[in-house]
Amino acid sequence: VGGWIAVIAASMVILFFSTRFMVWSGVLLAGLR
Amino acid sequence: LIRAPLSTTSVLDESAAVVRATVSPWAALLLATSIPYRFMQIVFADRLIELGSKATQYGDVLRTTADITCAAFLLSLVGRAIYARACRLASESGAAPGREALRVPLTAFAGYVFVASIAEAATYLLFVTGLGIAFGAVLSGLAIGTIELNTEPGIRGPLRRLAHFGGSSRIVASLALVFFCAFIVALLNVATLISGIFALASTVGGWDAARWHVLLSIHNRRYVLTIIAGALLVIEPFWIAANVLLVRKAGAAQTGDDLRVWFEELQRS
Repeated sequence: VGGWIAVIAASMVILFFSTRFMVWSGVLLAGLR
Repeated sequence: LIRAPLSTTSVLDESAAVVRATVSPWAALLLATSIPYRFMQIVFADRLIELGSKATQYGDVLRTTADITCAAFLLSLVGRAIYARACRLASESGAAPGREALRVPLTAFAGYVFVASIAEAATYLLFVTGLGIAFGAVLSGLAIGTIELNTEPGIRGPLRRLAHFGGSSRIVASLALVFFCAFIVALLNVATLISGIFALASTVGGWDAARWHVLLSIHNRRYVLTIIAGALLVIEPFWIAANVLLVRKAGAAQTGDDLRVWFEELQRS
């Protein structure tokens, strides 16, 4: 059970941050144009 | 079905045969699940280009688009997991796999979602450096290649396997280089195909295809983004098959399975 909780929680946290990185990188690149 | 020792050429050669065996319906399923993700990436990039330096004032719109892209990404992972399993079954039997390809173990999928998320986050985090796409592509390739080795839920196992198979760095790097070239070729092919279709359509009476030239020109950013997404969709089945075979062949070389198969073939002949 511990393994399941760890893998689901870690995936959700990383996916959350990946959407934020997507926005931050995009805005940075758009600003540089 | 270990036909040749581990090398870039053997991996590419066998992956072409595997894609041929899995093209219907599994490659079609992969495309169907990947299209929403690529479409949302186009929408996101298009909005960014449209907003330009004012993008900082439209955080909510961009965040919502990124969230929908993330949901589409999860759907694309389902398609990739099924396709990777179909590739493994096809490489084992040499024939087109049946419904068994759909039975992806939940532990394998959970481990794959975890490492694919890391690859996705690394891509966007390093995007501004220019290395993000290459690094993310290699990482996501190894993630899909090692999917079926995740037999227990957890976060250490998938990472350990990623590091282990990433050790074949020479072949991994050369595969990435070959697929970069394949992407350029696919880009030209997709653009030519679309132009060809409309050139043919313009010969049909009553079909006014002339105005489409404005839309289908490289000055239209949406057209350029669509062509890029189309090229990525075209090479995706080959990329997944190559990584599945790379991991399979590297694993066979380490356990000595390739030698066992070769010895059995010798005995039979």
